[in-house]
Amino acid sequence: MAKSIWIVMQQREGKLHRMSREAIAAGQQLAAMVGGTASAVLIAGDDALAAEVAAYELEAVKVAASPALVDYTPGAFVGALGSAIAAERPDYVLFPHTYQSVDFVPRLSQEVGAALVPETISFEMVGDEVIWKRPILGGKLQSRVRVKGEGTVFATLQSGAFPVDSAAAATTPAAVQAMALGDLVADREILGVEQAGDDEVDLTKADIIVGVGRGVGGPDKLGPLEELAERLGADIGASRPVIDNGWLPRDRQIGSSGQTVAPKLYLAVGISGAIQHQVGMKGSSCVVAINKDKSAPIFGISQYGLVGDLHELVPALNAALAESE
Amino acid sequence: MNILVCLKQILDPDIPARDFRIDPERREAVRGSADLVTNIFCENALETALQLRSTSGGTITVLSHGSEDTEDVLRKALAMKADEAALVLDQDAERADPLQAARVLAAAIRKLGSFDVIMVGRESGDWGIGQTGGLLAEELGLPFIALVEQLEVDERGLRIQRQTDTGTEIFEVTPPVVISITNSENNLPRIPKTRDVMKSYRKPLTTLSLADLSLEDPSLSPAAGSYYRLAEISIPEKEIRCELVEGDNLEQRIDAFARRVADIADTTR
Ligand SMILES: Cc1cc2nc3c(=O)[nH]c(=O)nc-3n(C[C@H](O)[C@H](O)[C@H](O)COP(=O)(O)OP(=O)(O)OC[C@H]3O[C@@H](n4cnc5c(N)ncnc54)[C@H](O)[C@@H]3O)c2cc1C
Repeated sequence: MAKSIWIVMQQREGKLHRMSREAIAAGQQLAAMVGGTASAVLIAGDDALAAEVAAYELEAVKVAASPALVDYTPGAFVGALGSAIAAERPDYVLFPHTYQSVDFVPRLSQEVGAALVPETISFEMVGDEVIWKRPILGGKLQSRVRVKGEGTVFATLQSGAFPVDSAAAATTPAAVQAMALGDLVADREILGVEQAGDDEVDLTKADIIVGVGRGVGGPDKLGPLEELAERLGADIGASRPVIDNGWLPRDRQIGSSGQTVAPKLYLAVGISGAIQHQVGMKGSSCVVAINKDKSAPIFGISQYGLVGDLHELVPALNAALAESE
Repeated sequence: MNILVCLKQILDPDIPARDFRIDPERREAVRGSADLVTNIFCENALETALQLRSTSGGTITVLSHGSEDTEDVLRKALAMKADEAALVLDQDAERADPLQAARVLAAAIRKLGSFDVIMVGRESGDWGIGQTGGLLAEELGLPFIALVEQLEVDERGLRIQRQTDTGTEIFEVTPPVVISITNSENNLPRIPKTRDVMKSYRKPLTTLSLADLSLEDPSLSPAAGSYYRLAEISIPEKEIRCELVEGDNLEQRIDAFARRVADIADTTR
């Protein structure tokens, strides 16, 4: 029997989260692999947004529209998705692995009795079984897991694993359908929000980022890097140890537990390139790195590299850039 | 506030990839000379709890599901000044998937008492699944809030600051709740004093077995797993396609590198 795949979109104020498009790409791929159809589920969002999603090659766009869903709360989201999943029993439900899905998807999986494979990077068919691939131990290992038993399978998708441009457009737009909703309970009243970068910058919108790592050695050593960022018109991001040590504020953290960025140029300085960091920046158009260790994993995803002591190289680079200005 | 913090022991995630071995038969990472450490986000949770207790009073109980080795994690937490510690001893703990772990922790929590706030780390540094908190909340029938970076007691209960995809949001909740803690500049774990580490070994530690929690049924045992089966683990292959910029001297290398960087930077303007 043809399998049904649902792809849950994440949006805010009428704009799709970048990873929603990646999820569409993944859903189309999964549908082709298992033999089935993929539909998008749009929670709130207006007609224009529904039309935008319907422009992708999909069976349908299911829209859950209710005032209770306009602002995210886990209660209302679990209520809306839970009753629809229980009623229609899709075979697979895909979610982007975001801060929002981390908050409500485990609960949803329990309520509908679905298995949940988190942060997958790919899937393949072995016999008639789907095998999900996900990195473990910070990417030092790759695991391949299968799900036991029958029933709906949930998977969340790692940022950057399924390129947006592989999502196929529709020849004729997908049908937009309203989803039946029961009573929804918004279970959080948000008292205040702070947008990252309100005060200074929004790293997700930066064209150029200078990424600062533990190799920099201390907050007093940031001067040349700030100068470099200024010369390039770049914003400064950082790896987690830099945040944990208090050298830079938390909104600068890039990686699996920080922000996900995709600038045109990412210059990694004194960053080893642990998988948790890579997850947050490997979508950059071009990565270049400065590191004293030529076997550092960051060079594995860089286009250009400079091997040596950053305390010597960065000031020299500043001087060279100043000269060419 | 009565606070319970769940702590997981993991293989040190900082060991370099080249020192890493796997046992394909057992589908496990080989420990070798690697250290076992407390998962960093669990330590962020404990630090958050210690700060909450210092402003609002109450007690902190730490709980782990692990083997004999896991006692170290709890002793360290006691040295950081947690009040009580409990270990659910289970040789298969390492192989538990999040649902199994959540069931064990939930049963232990019910046995240990009643708590206003139950804290977990946002994810572990080994399997990185990040579901235990959410599943634990479901097992206990409590609300779950992921990715909390700060919380304080106020007249309505707890004021929570949580990270979102675009920044942070603030709201109030009425305990009891389960929350997962993420790292922030405010919850860098304190380093216990040597004297307190020594003293921690004289503090009582409650040990529970799966039988004590009525979880000895093999189908409920972590070794049985709930919904995953691991098909294989492998060491990923790395391809290096990076051009390391060369030159006869530093100046040449810097110039060549600066030109490339400036060229790419120019395309963004
Ligand atoms: C569950 C989990 C979540 C995580 N989330 C994140 C996350 O969101 N973001 C993140 O970044 N990390 C995260 N981490 C941490 C991650 O695993 C790494 O520990 C971290 O990214 C390493 O940061 P780093 O590269 O700055 O430091 P290190 O790994 O210590 O690397 C420092 C680098 O600097 C180089 N260096 C040192 N001195 C010099 C010098 N003088 N000149 C030139 N090069 C020099 C060294 O060769 C080395 O490569 C997470 C870890 C876990 C377990």
